[in-house]
Amino acid sequence: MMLNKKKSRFFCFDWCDFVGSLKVAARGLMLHKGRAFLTSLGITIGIASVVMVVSIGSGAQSLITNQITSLGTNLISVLPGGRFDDGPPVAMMGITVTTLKLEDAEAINDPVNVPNVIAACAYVKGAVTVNAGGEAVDSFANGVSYTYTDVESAVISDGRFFTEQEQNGIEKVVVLGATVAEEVFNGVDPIGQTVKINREPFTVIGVLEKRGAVAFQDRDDQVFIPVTVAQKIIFGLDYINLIRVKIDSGDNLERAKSDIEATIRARHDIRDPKDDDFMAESIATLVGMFTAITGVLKFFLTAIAAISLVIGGVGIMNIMLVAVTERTREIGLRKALGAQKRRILEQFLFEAIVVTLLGGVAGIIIGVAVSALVALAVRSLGYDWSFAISGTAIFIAFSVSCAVGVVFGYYPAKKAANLNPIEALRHE
Amino acid sequence: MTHTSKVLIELKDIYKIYGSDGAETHALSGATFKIHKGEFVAIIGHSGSGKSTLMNIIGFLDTVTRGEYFFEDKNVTSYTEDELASIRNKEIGFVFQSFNLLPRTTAVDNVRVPLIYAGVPDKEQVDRSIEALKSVGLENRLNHVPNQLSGGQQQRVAIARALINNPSIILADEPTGNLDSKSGIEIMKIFKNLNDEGHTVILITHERNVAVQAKRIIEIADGKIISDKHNGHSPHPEKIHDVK
Repeated sequence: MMLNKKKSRFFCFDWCDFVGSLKVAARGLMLHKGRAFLTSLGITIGIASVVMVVSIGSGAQSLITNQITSLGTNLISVLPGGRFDDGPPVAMMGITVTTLKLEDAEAINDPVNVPNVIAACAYVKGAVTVNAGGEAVDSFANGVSYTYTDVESAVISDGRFFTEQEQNGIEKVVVLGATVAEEVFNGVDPIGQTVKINREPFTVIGVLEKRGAVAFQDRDDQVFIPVTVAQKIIFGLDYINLIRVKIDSGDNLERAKSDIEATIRARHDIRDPKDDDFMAESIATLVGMFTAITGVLKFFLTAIAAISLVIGGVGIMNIMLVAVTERTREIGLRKALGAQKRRILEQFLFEAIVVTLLGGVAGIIIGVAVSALVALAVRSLGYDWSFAISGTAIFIAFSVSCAVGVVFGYYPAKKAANLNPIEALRHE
Repeated sequence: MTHTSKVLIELKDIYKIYGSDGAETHALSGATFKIHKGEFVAIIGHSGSGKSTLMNIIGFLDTVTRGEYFFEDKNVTSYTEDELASIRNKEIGFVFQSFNLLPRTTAVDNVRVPLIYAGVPDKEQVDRSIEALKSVGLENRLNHVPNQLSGGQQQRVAIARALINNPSIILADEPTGNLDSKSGIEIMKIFKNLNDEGHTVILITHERNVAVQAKRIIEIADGKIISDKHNGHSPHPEKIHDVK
C-alpha cells in the first residue's frame, strides 16, 4: 500500500503538480470571472484586429490584382508624366498631366514603329449624364480609339463598334455599356436611337456585353465614344489620359516596351530617358507596384494591431499585479500549508495564460467572423472577393497570445512566488 | 504519555536576531526545550515576548539565526525554502487566530488545499475533506463559504484543514482570539479531544485561562524561556529550565 502510493507519486510527480496548479488557477479565475473577462478583452481586441487586418488586407489585395491581370498579361500601359524613382505613376495619384497626345497612340499603333503591336488604344475619361428623353442617368464616358475591342476583352452584343472613319470624322456615335443600355432604354432596342450625352445628341450604334467591375469601376455603367469626339465636343481638351497597347505575345513585352518608349521619345524630342514625360509599364509591373504599396500598408496596419496586443499584455500584467497584492494573504496561507515556490508561480502564471488564451480564442473567432461578414458584404456588391483566412495568421495570433500571457504573467507570478509566508499572512 | 515517548521537537539554544549591526533585535535568545509525541503544550507570553517567532520556527515558517532544530531526530536547521514547504505540508497543521480561510470558497475546497500540494488525487482530496469536516461536526456545512459560517464554525473548518494531511503536530496560534467565549470553549474542547486521540498539540496564547487547559505550559518573555512546567498532576518532562 505504502509502496504503491510512493510509486504512483513518483510517476505523477511533475505532471500531477502541473495539472494541480492549473486547477487551482482555474478555480481562482472562476472566483473573479468579471475581472478575468475584462482583462482578456484587451487581448481579444488585439488578436481580432490582427486577424481582420491580415484577412481583409489579403482579400482586397487579391481582388484588385486579379482584376488588373484579368485585363490581360500582354498589355502595356502608357501613362502621362515621368517616374519618380520606384514610386507609383504620377497619374495614379490623381494629378492631371497633359503630355500624352492622341498622335502618340496612333504612332504606337503603327507596326513600323512597334513591330509587335496588335493594337493601341487611347483613352480620355470623364463623368457625363446620359439622357434618352426620360430621366438623365449619371454615367462615365470613355473616349477611346476604334481599336478598343482589339485591346480590351469587350464583346459587342448588339450592333457594332465605331470605325476609323467615324473617329477621324468626329461623328457623334456611341456604344453603350450593358447597364446604361438597360437603364436608359428599359428593354427597347437602342440601336439607331438617339441619346443625349451632356446635351449633345449621339446615335447609338452598339451595345457591349456585361463584363463586371474592375478596380472598383463598373465597366457596364459606361458609354464609349470616339476619342476625337470626347476631346473636342464633350470634354474640350487636347490630351489623353492613357494608352493601352496589346502586344502579340507576352514574351515580346520588353522589346515592345522599348520600341514604345523610343517612339514617344522621338515624338516628344526627348534624348535622355531621365527626362521622360510618360511612363510605359506592363500590367505585370503595375501589379508588382500595387502589391508592393498594399504590402507596406498591410504591414503597417498589422503593426498597429500588434501594438494593441502589447497594450493588452500590459493590461494583464497590471491586473495580475493587483491580484497578487490583493491575494497576498491567500499566497501566504498556501505557502504555510505547503505550497512550494514553483506551485505559486504556476498558479499565477497559468491564470495569466488562461486569460490570454481565452481572450486569444475569442479574438480569433471575432476576427474570422468579421472578415467573413466583410467578404459577404463585398460579394453582395458584385465583386469576386475571396474570403481568405490564413492558418499562419491564426497560428501566429494564438502563439502570440500565449507568449503575451507568459511574458506579462511571469513578473507578477514571480513576485507572488517570492513572498515571505509570515509577512504575507500578516498582510491586511 | 510517558518520558519514554518519542521526541518530536528538539530546540537547542535557538537565537533569532532581526536587523543588522547596531540595531539588532533579539526575538529569541537561547530557547531550548523538547516536545514529545502526544503532548499538549501551551506557549504563553505577552505580545513582543517572542512567542510568535518561536511558533514560526517550530512551524518551519522561519529559519533560525543561531542554534539547532531537530525534528524527529533530523537536523532541519538549514533546510531550504522548498524543503521547509514540504515538511510544513506533511508535519504541521496550522490553526490561525484569524482562521485564514480562502474567501468565497466552500468548506470542502478550503480543507483540501494541503492535499493539493501533497499531490493527492482529486477524488481522494474531496473524500478526505468530507471526512475531516464530519470529524469536527460540520457534515451539514460542506458547501458553505466562510461568509455563511459563524466564527466558531470557520475555526472548525480551519481545524479540519489542519488535520487533513495527518500532521505530526497541530500548531494553533491564538485559536480562540477572535471567538466569543462560548465558541472558544468549544474549540478548546476539540483540541483536548484531539490530544486525547494522540495528536500532539502546541498552542500559542497570551491568555492564561486558555493556557491552563494544556498539560504543559512554556512561558516566554523577552525571547527567553522563563518557565516550563507541567500543568497539574502530570510529571515534569524537562529539568533544564528550572534555572531562570
